[in-house]
Amino acid sequence: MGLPGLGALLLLLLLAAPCPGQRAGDSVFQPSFIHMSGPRVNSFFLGNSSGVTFSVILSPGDEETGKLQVANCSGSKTAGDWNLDVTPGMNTSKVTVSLTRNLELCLPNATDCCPSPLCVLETLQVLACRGSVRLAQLLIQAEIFANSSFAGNVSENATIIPNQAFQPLGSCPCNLTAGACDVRCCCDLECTPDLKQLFNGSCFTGVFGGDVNPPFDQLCSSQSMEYTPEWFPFLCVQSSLDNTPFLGYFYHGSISAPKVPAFTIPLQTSPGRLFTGYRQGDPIITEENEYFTIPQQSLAGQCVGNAPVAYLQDFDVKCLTSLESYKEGLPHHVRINTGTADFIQQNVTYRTVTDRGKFITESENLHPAEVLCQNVTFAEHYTFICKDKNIEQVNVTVFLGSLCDGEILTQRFTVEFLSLKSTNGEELPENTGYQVGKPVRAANINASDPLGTLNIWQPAGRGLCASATYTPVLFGVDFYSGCILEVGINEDCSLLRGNVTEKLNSLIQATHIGKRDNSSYSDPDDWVQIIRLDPFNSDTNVSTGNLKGFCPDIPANLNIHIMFAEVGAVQGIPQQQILAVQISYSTVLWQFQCGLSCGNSLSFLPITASVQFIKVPAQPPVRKTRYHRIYVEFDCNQNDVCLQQLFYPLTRFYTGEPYSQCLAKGLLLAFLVLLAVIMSNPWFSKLWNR
Amino acid sequence: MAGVELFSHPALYTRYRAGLCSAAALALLLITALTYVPPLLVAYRSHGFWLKQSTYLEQPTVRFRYEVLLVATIGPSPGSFLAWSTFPAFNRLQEDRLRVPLLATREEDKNQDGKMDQLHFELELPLQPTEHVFGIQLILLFSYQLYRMSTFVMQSMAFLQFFSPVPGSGLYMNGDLKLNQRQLLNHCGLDTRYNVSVVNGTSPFASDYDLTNIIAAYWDRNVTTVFSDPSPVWMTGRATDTPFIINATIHYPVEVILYQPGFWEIIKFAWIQYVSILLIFLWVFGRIKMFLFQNQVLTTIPVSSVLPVSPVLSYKQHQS
Repeated sequence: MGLPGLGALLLLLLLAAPCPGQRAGDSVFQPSFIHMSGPRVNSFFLGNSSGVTFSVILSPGDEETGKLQVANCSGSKTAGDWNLDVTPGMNTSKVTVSLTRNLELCLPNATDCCPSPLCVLETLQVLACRGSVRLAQLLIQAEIFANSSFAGNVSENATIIPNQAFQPLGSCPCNLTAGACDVRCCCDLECTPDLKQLFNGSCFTGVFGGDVNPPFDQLCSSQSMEYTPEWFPFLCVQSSLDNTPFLGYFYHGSISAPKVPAFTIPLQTSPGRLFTGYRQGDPIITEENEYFTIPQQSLAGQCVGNAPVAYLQDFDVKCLTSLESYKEGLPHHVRINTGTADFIQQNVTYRTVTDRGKFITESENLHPAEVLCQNVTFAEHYTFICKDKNIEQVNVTVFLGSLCDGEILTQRFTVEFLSLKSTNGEELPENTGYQVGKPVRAANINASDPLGTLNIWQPAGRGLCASATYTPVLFGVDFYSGCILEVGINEDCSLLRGNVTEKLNSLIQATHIGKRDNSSYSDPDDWVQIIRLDPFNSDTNVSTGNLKGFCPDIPANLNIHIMFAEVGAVQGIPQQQILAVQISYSTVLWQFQCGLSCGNSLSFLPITASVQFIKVPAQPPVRKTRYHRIYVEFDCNQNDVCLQQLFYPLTRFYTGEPYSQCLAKGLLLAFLVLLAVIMSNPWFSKLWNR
Repeated sequence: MAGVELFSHPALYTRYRAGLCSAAALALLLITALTYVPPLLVAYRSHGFWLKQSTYLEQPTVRFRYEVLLVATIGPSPGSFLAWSTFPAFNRLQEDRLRVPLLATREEDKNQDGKMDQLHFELELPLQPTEHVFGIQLILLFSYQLYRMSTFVMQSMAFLQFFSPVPGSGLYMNGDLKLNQRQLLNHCGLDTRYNVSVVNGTSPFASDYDLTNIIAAYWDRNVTTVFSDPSPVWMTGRATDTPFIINATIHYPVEVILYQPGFWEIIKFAWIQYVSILLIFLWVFGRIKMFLFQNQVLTTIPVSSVLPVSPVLSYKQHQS
């Protein structure tokens, strides 16, 4: 080795040796500069922390140059309001700097708080020293604002801008400087009385000085001596200075803001407290003062989940849902307000759905084993038992079942309000006649069980008679429906006739129909007997013999004619009663329809039933002769120039003005005409000249 | 002959006198009745005597009330729709179906006559990339006022609806808000029977926001407005991050309004017709009267004002 070897070794040593001021391990704060905006901040000291002392120093910094003073290692862990905490670790130590003063915004004359919103603006240095050697330094710039908390209510009051027609928006036009007193402006509220006294004699006058409503000449209290006429104060105007002729609009008596429409969504009002009971149409309230909700139909057939229920409004809705969009409704343990600030529990009965196919429609074909299923509510039936204005009891029947992914469920929700007989003595006079839409009463008078039914078919699915259900006949509504009967080619005709007749007769399980809605079973006068015109009896007349696939005279169409009339009125509501009911059959010829070859396939025979309501006049109408029917002189519906309308404006036919006014105007005209006639008479002119 | 005779004033002014109960007086009464009554009957029987309805033109004062109800169908499965309205109770019912759109509206008075002429309505409905709009049902509420005859104030609605089997990027509609009358309006006075809101915005019940109930109640009214647009444009091709845009321009046109005329208007038109026929009858019966009296068909005592009335000499008119 010689000089180059020594030089290489030195180079190596130099390279290996750490830089001046840095020891092996390279201790550093990470991060080394923090801009602090909260009361606590953390940093990490990387490096061996054994024997290292940490200190925090408040560095005010040089005012002129802004440079920081170089700190020495003589600080401590506390400086002013600042605290330093060190959590030592293996190679890293956590360093926490925290502020210990109160950050509340000051009230006047209070201590230990922040006098201004910018509470702390300081610079800190955190030093890590070993002995008196500085290892690392952390620079913290603290800019901390005072804590502000919002206390108080949010006011929904909007600033009402007065209508400019009555109140100028700037009521003091000379108040130009904000926060300071404007000289010579006597309406400026920022001027103290002492200041005002200085320029009191030379205030701005007129509108610019704030006098936006100068007293006008016609005012009774007007002191102006300029243009007062001699008759003043005769016909002077007595009014307050709120209403002057300088304003453009009529003064309603209040200063109202102009109602300019805009997109403002008004406040939501929560349901009010109930102390006096429910009236019809009021929403039902729960214990927590919220609406009692059940899914209902809204919009264009879509269902909304939580819709309030109205008192005494029954409904029956079907909502579609699937597993993704399924949501549970209101839980059943919620108690309901009865109307008298008392709460009752719902009486819930849980059942499992037996016929799942009625509710579910499958939309996708999935492997049934691997699919996700959940136990959901299939139907809920609510019955509210109410008395007067209170709810006595709530009975709920919940049907549960499992819904799987990919299926569409038809949920059904029904609500029914039943009322107990109230002990209130008042009995409203009953409307005993039928009302349109109510079911027709039917009975078997001479049977043990008098209850009867009058139905027609409600077809379902494919429309076969085997799967059809019944729906009751409603008063005043003409019905027509039917179902399809499957008939084989070898069907015996008389058997077929019997089958069809039996099916049609199953619709009418009654012998009498009630005249009124409240017909009682004990009074035979309340019922009319059903007149049956039985189908043509085919036993006596076998016309076609034994032709296969061909049957004449099948009574496949049932016609029910119900005759009703208006008999009197109760409280202005006309009473409608059924006078007679007739059932007749019309026959069809059934022929087996088949193509080229008739196998053992089935043919279809449609069986129909129709109900027709015929209004009969209560009294027979007056017979009109043919002459009267053609001669329409007095019939204003068929004749534009009927004689009753000869003096049209003076008759009741004219509805453009009240009749009394028309009569008065007509009399005025008649008076004028009479005056004209009298004055044109020569006798009058003689009288006048005398 | 010197010249043509243009006018002749009877030089002899003759008055015919008779008793009040004489045949002549009764005949005169009959003739007077025949002069004044038949014109009324003739005018009435020829139709149109009494003016039962009339029309006038007015551009109504229409202002948009800034009340909107929107339903957007985004798929066939149950519950796939979005809704929003300016009624807080309705919005609360929709829960997670609520989607707040961006609305930009402007009413324009094109001819500066103080009455708005059209409404520019633009609505942007934000959508997720997987949502596709298939149909829109939109209700806009207006306040509608007529002033020229009766002061008619009502709140009316424009119902915009469009459905398409293909998903869309926007809907463009341009049409008039036309008045639909089922009965005649009055000729004077204040008519505010339809100054009730079409949608009950304060009700919390779902049935009050059922479109069928709203429309059924609206069409029970006898005077309504209809938004008539024969050509809505369904635009397709929505980029995934763009909203669905509804762009509607609703014009407020001049309307022909049917009204029932007032008493004096009816009498005035009737009078014109009556007098024009009366003139003919007056002339005819005047001639008949002259003939009857001059030729003494009715026995009267003629008194001439030229010759002195002499109780001795009775001047008998020469009968021809």
